[in-house]
This record gives sequence, C-alpha cells and structure tokens, in this order.
Amino acid sequence: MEDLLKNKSDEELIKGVANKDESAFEILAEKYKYSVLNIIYRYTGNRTEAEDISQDIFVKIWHSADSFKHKSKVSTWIYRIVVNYCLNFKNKNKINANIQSLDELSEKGEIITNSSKEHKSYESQETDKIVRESVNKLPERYRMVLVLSRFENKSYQEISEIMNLSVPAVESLIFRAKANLKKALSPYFNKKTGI
Amino acid sequence: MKKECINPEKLSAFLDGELSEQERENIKSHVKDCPLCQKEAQGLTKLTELLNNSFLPIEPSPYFIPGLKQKIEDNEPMPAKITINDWISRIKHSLVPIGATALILLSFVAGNRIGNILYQKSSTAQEREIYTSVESSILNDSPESSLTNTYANLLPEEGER
Ligand SMILES: [Zn+2]
Repeated sequence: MEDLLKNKSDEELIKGVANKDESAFEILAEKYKYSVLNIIYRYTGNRTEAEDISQDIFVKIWHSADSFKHKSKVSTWIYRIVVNYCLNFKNKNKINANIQSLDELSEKGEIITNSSKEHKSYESQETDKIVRESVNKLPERYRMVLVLSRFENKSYQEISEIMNLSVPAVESLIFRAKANLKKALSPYFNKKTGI
Repeated sequence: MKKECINPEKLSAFLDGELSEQERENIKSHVKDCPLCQKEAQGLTKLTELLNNSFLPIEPSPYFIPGLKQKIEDNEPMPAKITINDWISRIKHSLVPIGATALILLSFVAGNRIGNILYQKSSTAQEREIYTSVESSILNDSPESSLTNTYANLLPEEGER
C-alpha cells in the first residue's frame, strides 16, 4: 500500500491529502521536509526553530490541500506556502532569528550533515556566523530570493512563480541581495582573499 | 574590451546559469578579455562560496514526522459537533420501515447513549489538550515558540493563492 503510494505523483498525493489520506500526507511530508526545513533554516538562521516552523507548514498543507487548484505544480504551491509564511510572519516571535553560531549548534548536537562534521577552525566558524548575520540583515525579499536561488537551486522562472514576481524583478532582487552582501562583507572579503 | 562592460545584474544572472544562449555567448566573449568584468565575476563567485560554506544543509530530526503527526492530532477539531438531531435524522433514514413508536424509543435510547459517548469523548480530548499543553510548556525552553502561539499565528491566515 505504502509502496504503491510512493510511486504516485505529487498531484496524486495532494489529492490524497485533500481527502485526509494520512499515508499520502506522510509520503509528501517525507519528500519535501528536507527542502522546507532548509529554506526556513537559511531564512531564519535558526536551526531549532526551523524544525518547529517546518512542521507548522506541513500542518497548514494538511489543512489546506483541498484548496489546491492544480493550476501550478504541487512543489510551487508548497514553496509558496513556505514563502508566505516566512514573509507574513516576520513580526511574530518565531521568525526573528537569533543567529546561532556553529559552536552552539554543535554543542546541542544539532548538526548532522556529513560536511559539517569536518572540523572547522574557530576563525572559520566566526566567518560563517558573520555571513549568516549579514544574510539575516538583508530585507526579507532579498533574503528569500537568495535562499531559493542559491540554496534551493530554483531558476529565476520558478522563483517568479513562487513569489508572484516577474523574472526581471527576480533577477534584480537577486543581484541587489548579492550586492548588499558583498558590501556588508567587504572588509572581511578583502582580508580573506583566497577563500 | 571595446564593447561596453556587462551590466553587473546580467553578470550575476549569467553566473546563476540564467539568460538565453545568445546572451550567455556575448557575456562569455566579453568577460574573457575584460579584467574589470572578470574581477566583478570573481567577487560574485567568492560570495557564492562564502554562502555555501556558511549555510551547510541540515537534516530533519528523526522526530520530524512523529512530531508533525502529533501536532496535527492536537490540532484536530473536537468531534462534539455532531448533534443529537443529526443522529436522529440518520437513524430515521435507515430505519423508516420499523415504525414511529419504535423510532421514537430508539431515538431516545440512542440519543442518550451517543450523548454520553460524545460527552466522554470531548472531555478526554480536552484533557489531552490540557495535558499536552502543560507538557509542551514544561519541555519547551523557549515559550515564544509554543504550540499555542503557533496555531494562534496559523489559524487566521487561511486560503493560499
Ligand atoms: Zn567588461
């Protein structure tokens, strides 16, 4: 039964979710949890809250799957919910990101990826923190387009559909986000030539 | 170098793998011979590296799905909305041939019983809710991200585009 469901398309799964099929929902959540979690983590800079918020987003998907009109891809719809959540709830407690240093995160045993198991020097950890802080200071839309483009590898076209913007607007936002970061990180940038 | 330099916005899009074949070709052939644009491109590439290093991906915890299921369960509406009238009308539809007297008697008995069951159900659901909210407030060291808050935030914002 589960195996049969696993071969189903997103469209079939979301229909199942709309009919309150828990197995379909679980498969959909399994499929998208990694992306949703990482978008929120990179947007908020906070690992602990990212998981909590991601779950909330899936709760929302569970409750609103029947309002999905099948006019866009399911993935676009899911990303749209994530983006709306992040942009609309910026003032509510969850998304005001206390940047955690890698130190704090490792102490809590929260970093699980292989790459991060590699030893990072103190200096490099501080660098990471500064970069995350700079990203977090970007205006919300800049930060979101950057996250979708840089980390989720979404094309400008996909981002324009997710964020309801034109492609040139996305191009411009992404460039301004990068220019902003380059400026913010410039002292550091020059010091650290060769990274 | 004779041609005008590349608009940095286009250079950024180019490095993101965007733009048409033609635009990409034009940019490539210009940048190849233009130290200014090369420098700009290097800066953008370095920024990308910094970003990639600082935001290594994270894995969902093993409790992600179980925790999600729990949240949904905690957030399900109470089943007490079915009224006794609903039950009577359901029973009416299925038991019409039995006759009016039997129906009234049955309605009373069934209504009474179901009423009791519903009462018990809703009180256990309430108990459970109280229990979990107490439990989560104990376990949660950042009260601002409590479940209660979460749903207060979530509920009014219905209906996606
Ligand atoms: Zn040039």
